[in-house]
Amino acid sequence: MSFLLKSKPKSGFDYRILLGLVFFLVLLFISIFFPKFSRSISHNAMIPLWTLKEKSVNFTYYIGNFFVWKSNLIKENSKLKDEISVYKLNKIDYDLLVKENEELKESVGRNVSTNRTLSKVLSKPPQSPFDTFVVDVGSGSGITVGNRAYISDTIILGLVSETTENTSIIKMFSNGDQSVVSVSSRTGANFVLEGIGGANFKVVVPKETDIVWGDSFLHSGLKDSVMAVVYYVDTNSQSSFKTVHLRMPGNVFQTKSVFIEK
Amino acid sequence: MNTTVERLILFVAVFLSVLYLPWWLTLLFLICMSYYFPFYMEIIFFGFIFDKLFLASREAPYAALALSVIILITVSFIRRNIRK
Repeated sequence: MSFLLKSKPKSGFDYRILLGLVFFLVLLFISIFFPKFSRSISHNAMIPLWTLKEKSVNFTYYIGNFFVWKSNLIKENSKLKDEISVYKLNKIDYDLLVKENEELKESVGRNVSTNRTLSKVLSKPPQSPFDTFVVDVGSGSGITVGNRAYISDTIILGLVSETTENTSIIKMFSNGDQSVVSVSSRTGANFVLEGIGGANFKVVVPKETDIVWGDSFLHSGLKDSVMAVVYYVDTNSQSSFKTVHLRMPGNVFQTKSVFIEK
Repeated sequence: MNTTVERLILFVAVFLSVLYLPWWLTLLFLICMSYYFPFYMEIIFFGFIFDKLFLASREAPYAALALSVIILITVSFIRRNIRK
């Protein structure tokens, strides 16, 4: 006596595969022949949802922080006040130095005027797998591919890689497929930093190379822009090279606005 | 629950996860969905959306779309060859 298997595979062609193939080809066709249009439609459709996210996240943040011990709040408050007073003094020094720096540059005939546009961050890693930021200004505001993006006066984030009418995509220098020339602020030597994602870089150099923990690396250009800071130097006694690990200064992924230099 | 309704609700959930959750969590959801549903075609759409929203690379402009198709084919193949 023989029994048929319950899960015996059915014979015949599965039309879902054909449907899937057609669907894939349609999307591929749109991607290839209408790249700008499809990106623009996608971004415009998502802007309200991204804005909503910002509002809802802030709301949950306040709920989460509502239940805190009063004593902890008092301690934190006094600590923050101390920090603010220190930062205020530092800010005065910093402003003086910036002014002096600009005057010196002007005296040697270098143009220091910049035209920056403030933009709100709509999406950033870890939502995006490619170390990219989506911001709310685009070609309509005069942004073009190749413009530099900063998270502060001097910390550079990356370059504008794509634009639509109302949005732009900023590709960070730390993107996995990027290598970027950088200058050590202390020694003035040039290095090619390799992006490894998550705002991190690495560079493999001979052991004797003068790079130490805390060194800043600048993006080559007219205005000095800090790109990365050394946080770990991996030296192996058996190797004649050392691997230097760098990271963008500050918490890049917490930033809510970006300056784009036109 | 009706499979179509279930599929629709989960489509919305995954769509929101593309926007709000870390990419690796969304990827995990998509792999689970393509195993749970027979021939989960929606994954191709999500690959397309990923490309359009986040991908800036000119070197591999259809990376997420291609990956979604690879996942769909692989998971469908595994699903077909596993007896329940």
